[in-house]
Amino acid sequence: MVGRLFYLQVIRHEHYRIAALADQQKEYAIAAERGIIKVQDGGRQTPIVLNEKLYTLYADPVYVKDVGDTADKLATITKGDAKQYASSIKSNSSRYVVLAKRLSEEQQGQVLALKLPGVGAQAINYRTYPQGSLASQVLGFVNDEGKGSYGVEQALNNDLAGRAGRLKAITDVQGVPLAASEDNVEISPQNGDNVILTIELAMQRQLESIMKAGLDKAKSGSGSALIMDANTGAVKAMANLPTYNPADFFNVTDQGVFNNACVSSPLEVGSVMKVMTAAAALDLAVIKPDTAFYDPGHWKLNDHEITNIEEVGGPGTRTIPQVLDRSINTGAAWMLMQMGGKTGSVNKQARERWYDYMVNRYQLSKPTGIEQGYESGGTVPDPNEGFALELAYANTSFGQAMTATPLQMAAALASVVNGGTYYQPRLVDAVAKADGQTKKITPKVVKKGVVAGHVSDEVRQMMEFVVANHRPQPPFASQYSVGGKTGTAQIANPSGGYYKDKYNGMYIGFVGGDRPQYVVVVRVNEPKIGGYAGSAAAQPIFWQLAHMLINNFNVQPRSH
Amino acid sequence: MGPVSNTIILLFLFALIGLLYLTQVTKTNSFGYSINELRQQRSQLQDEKADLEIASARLRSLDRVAQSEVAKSLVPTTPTGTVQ
Repeated sequence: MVGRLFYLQVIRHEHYRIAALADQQKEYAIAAERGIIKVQDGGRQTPIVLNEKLYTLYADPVYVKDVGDTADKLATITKGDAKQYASSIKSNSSRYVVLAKRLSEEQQGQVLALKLPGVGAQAINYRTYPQGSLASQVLGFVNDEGKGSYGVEQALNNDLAGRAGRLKAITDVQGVPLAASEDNVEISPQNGDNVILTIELAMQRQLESIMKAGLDKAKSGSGSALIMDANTGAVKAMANLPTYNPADFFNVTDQGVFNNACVSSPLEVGSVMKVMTAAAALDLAVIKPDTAFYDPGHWKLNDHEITNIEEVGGPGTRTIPQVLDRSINTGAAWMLMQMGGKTGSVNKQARERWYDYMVNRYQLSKPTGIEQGYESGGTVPDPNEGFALELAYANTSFGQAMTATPLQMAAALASVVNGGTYYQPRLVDAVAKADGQTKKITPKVVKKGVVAGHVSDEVRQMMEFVVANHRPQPPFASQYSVGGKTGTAQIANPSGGYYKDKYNGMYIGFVGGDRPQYVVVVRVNEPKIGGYAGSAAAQPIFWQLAHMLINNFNVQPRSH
Repeated sequence: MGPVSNTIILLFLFALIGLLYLTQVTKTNSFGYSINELRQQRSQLQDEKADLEIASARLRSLDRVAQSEVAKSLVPTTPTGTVQ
């Protein structure tokens, strides 16, 4: 017997130790709590995305005794379909059949009180949205695997998710860890960071309401709009229609609505680009604000005609403000030609100079780096490679043959009207770490001297001239500076050329006093009302937004 | 004392030490239950806090505020930045 004891306790010690540990030692993952998302609410912050513990109702068909009765009782509590429950349990496809998701604490208590054999409820943290569908495309959602999809949730998934912890311990028969084991290992979870956005809650709500009314009036099915702080790059409101409720993302049939079109859907921006062309030409000192020139009414480049809309009329003497006010394509092309020093031709020098402004100063064709999933950079044609370059580049001077997102246009316009500083567009104002430390995000300057200060002043005045000439209703009070430009762009046909009867309307503008405070971009897709899409559909929305900003968001009037 | 007495005393001491060890281990392990209970309490309190935060955020939601009696009794005023 002594020999046997010696064999079991000494020789086979390790074997039995491991076998005992396998039975007694348990390892648990401790889930990290996902960070919440807050927005600005008039000087304080309010949560817009929170975590809510809800329950998933499941059944183990092996232990369910009376399938029909079980299904009926559960359906009464969950308001679900008893037949569907019974069918799922009978299918016997798995030992873990999910019957219902997102049950409340109260419903979970009612289910457990029934003590139905083979039925249980598992707690799962879900995202909840107290403001409903507000800013849904900016926020994105968290999918069933717990991963952020679209919007901020995708772009900042690693920061928001945190890191799971681990508990490895000797436990009693009920799984309760015993404190006396020296082999116990506990690594605390690292909760995700809380993210505070630059979005202003009330402004976002009003933007969405105004946009909805504007799109309905223009008989358009979709559109986008955003408001940006012209002097920091902080996006204060950003929305697209149609939208969705992120709490119900799994019921969405058209996944296109998940996209934040303001950042992920570039388009040919149309005549709003003439502002940028004028700014570049003024900055290169090839034109002056009071320059008058002869406009022949058409240009022939690479055997194609560039013409104007009917209302512009035939040839004549034009000024630069008129080019913007009456949206003269041939005038924009003329300004581009001056960059190369030769009227009638868009030469290599003109193309390279204009390319430098578009790409290296206005930062077009590059994603801005905003905290959003699936951001697109748009396109700008190469100045020296490609087909029909003179024509293509002439087209870019009035926003065709190139693409940009509304966000890129907002950031570029801000850099032109704020004195010449390009700020990186951003949606994050601060990040609050789980340890309580808060890191404030400071505006990031991407480029200074985009245009000279005096050019910035001149462009602002021209844009104010455009707004005044278009007679906004109601008009703006003179102590505020409101400037803008319409754009109507033909939509490219995937099989070549452009549709003859499909247009997108754009509007870019600013609101401020002595200096611009907000930059606004509006996009209306394929409006079905008469008139040009930019002026008939997008411009009224801009006017409404400008009034909303002046009336509600502390726009500082001119000092004199 | 002879060798038998010494052996008995030693065995008694070993037994005593063993008993002491067992009482201490048992006592320490009982803390595990206290710790577990406290963890559950903490978890419940955190859940309650989260629920209250959600309830608070929902009560302050713009849709709810817009439909409140106070909001309905507001009257429009002339915007200062608009030329009438």
